[in-house]
Amino acid sequence: MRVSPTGITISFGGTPGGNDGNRPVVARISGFATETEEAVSREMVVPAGESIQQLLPQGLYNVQLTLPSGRIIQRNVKIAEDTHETYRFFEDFAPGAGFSLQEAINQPDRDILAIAANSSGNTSGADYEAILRKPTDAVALQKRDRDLKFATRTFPSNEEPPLPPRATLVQLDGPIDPVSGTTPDAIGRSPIEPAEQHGDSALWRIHYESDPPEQSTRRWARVALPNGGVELASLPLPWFCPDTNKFSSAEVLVDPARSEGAATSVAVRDRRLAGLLAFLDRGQASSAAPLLAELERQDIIGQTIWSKMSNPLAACAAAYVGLAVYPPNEHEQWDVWLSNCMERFPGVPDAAIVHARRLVLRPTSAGDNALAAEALRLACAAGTPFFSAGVLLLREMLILLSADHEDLKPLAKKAGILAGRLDASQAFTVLRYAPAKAVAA
Amino acid sequence: MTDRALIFHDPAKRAGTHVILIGIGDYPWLEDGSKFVAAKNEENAMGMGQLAAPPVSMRRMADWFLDSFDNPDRPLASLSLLLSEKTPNLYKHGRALPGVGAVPRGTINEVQTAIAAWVQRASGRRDNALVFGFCGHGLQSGNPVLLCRDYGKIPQSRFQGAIDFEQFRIALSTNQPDTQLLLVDACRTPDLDDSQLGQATPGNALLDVQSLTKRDNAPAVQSVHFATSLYSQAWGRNDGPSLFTEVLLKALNGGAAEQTANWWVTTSRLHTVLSTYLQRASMAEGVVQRPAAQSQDFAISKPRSIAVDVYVSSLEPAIWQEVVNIKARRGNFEEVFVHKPPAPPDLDFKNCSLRLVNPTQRPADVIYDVQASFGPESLYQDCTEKIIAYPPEVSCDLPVSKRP
Repeated sequence: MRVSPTGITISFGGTPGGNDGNRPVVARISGFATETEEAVSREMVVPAGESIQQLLPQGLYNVQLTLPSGRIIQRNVKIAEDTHETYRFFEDFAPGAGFSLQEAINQPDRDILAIAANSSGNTSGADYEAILRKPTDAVALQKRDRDLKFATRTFPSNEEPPLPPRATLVQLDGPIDPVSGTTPDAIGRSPIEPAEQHGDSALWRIHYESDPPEQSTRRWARVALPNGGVELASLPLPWFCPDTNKFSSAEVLVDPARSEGAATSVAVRDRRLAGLLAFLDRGQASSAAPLLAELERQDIIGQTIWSKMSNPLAACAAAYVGLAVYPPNEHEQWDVWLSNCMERFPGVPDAAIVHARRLVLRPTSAGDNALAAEALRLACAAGTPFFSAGVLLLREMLILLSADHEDLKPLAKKAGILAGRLDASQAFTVLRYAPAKAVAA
Repeated sequence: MTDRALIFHDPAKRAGTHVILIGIGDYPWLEDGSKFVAAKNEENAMGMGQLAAPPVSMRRMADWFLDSFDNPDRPLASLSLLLSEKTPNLYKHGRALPGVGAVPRGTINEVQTAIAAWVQRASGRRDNALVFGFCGHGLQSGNPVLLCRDYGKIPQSRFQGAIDFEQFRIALSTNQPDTQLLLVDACRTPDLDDSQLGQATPGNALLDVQSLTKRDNAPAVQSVHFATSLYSQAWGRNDGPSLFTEVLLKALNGGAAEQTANWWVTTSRLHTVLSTYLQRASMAEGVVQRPAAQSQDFAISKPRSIAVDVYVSSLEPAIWQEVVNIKARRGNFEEVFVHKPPAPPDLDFKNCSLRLVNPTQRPADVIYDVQASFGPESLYQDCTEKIIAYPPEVSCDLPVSKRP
């Protein structure tokens, strides 16, 4: 790399030991040139894993980075004559609580389970392995001191300790009844074997064996937890990845120790949309600034919505993010594509929801709310949204418009019940059902 | 009927900011409360008890609005306060309305009455702004719920004393003022009673949804700032405010002033600065607390001066085991901090901090010489580093070297 005589090179290394170094950050350089005392101000994106170079006159500068966590770090940089400063910034605070399967999805399966267990404090895997080790330890001890054999629980050499109770997962097709949490074909389905498991946690990978069916054929994972609770995860299938020219599988992780929302998490592998999906998966807790800058740099939102025919679910995800991060009164090129998406994909409730959201946020005439109400009716008829943002926005807009459209009130109540079952911290819809309570005799 | 929660009101006919602050610390029907009977209330209490921080926090917020809030476009127009403390207390301030008695204590009925009056006052003009602040217990009971003073009073219907926050927020957005700031300083931990899953409306929505035709068909612009992320706890001090209020006040006092917005505090900047401050503050207390926001961008206030935290560190961390005189100078202004070695010695001590207040953001007011001087017996020689002190916080690495 050719280095300029005066200037600065900036890169972001993430949190030491963390995996946020593969996300973009926003850098702002403000300062004063020595000779002219002229104020200098520049803002730029530092793309994930890259460094950027800025030419600057001699002077004193303040470099400010907005990190994926939302935190701002600043340092002062002196640029002298013919000097070029190189700064690699790190996040020096430990990452906060919370696990995002979408952020961890490109790790090996074992690592994903380990990261999830670390986040939830699930020790079942480590405990089980410790039990497995104990017979060996006990045998070693017995050789030294026969009395110690009673200190540990031992197993006959040909018998392993029982596995911790695990969740089971069956795949369901078709619309669900959100109240009972089941589908007409739920009975008789066989559980699917996980791709990887550790302790009582497991990771499933679900994909179509043959050509995917129509988008309107919904696919669900019904997870029965060891405590008797049930969770229903909407699987974002089919999910076509233009980068790989293949359909991605849906990854389902179940960690019964997770207390933040549902035990079940869902994600898809899609490198191009990783930042966008991680934003939705974090319940929008991550900072929008770096994401927005990166999305704009690559025009990801516009292109993904434009390519709705190849992946309407991705188009909806892009629209949810676009509607969340852009000012509500700002008209976007893709606004008009949303109604088209709704018409072409009547089985995808989210397509009608993002269209309604756009109409509510950016009304151009008095009739727009009537059009939004009609889109919401279509969304309700299409079933449960694929995305948790869709469930929340559906509820919000049904309430908002119910004062002018009386027939939306019962739909708003149903959407409220659905929202009450939702794990709102995830990108994809996961609904929770409490364990059945024992009835006293 | 007079609004007992109203402690300040400017009746001038211009756009203004209308604020309501609710701090609930005394919960009679929660653990250690005056009406708590374990057999009746323990299940609903779910381990929740009395809180010290909420009334302190909301009193400080009220002080800040009366003393420091500066928005030339929408100055403070009204301020309402509800405080649940062990005994009803007065709120005293030089700008408070004459004859203000003890403020309401935050039962759901009192909150509903005060909210109705607040919305009515603010609805006179579209260009008004609203600020809603709540500090107290909260739950994620399927939907977010904020607990008022009389939460659990009726054990069979515990949420009668609670706010259905989501329904309230949505209904509020159908009301007149165009810009609405909501600050929620409460836990968002899951309700232990999982039969609440799927319950549509836990709690009182406080307001009815209005027709959007009264607002040109679009809801108000809202920025909602939560003290903590979904399903996690928010923390407060036993002898002071909550962590969130502490950092919120720092942010409003200029930490969240945005350079590209002519040094106004904006809602989007507020969220990133709250993230910055809260990570540091929560880590210092050994807890994890990350703020969350559903933010649409608008300006809140324009601070008169801007306070910037400077964290002074050195590549020679051994300097912190001796006395270091640190001076930050610009023109005739000087801020002095004397670092004394920690006792017992703490080899992990990495930096010290000082707070610089910039009267303007012009170069002459933001460029400082930070000078470190050591005692005559010290191994180190005095040194100086030039910095630009822009908010929210900046680090200063001292170029320390040993004496020859």
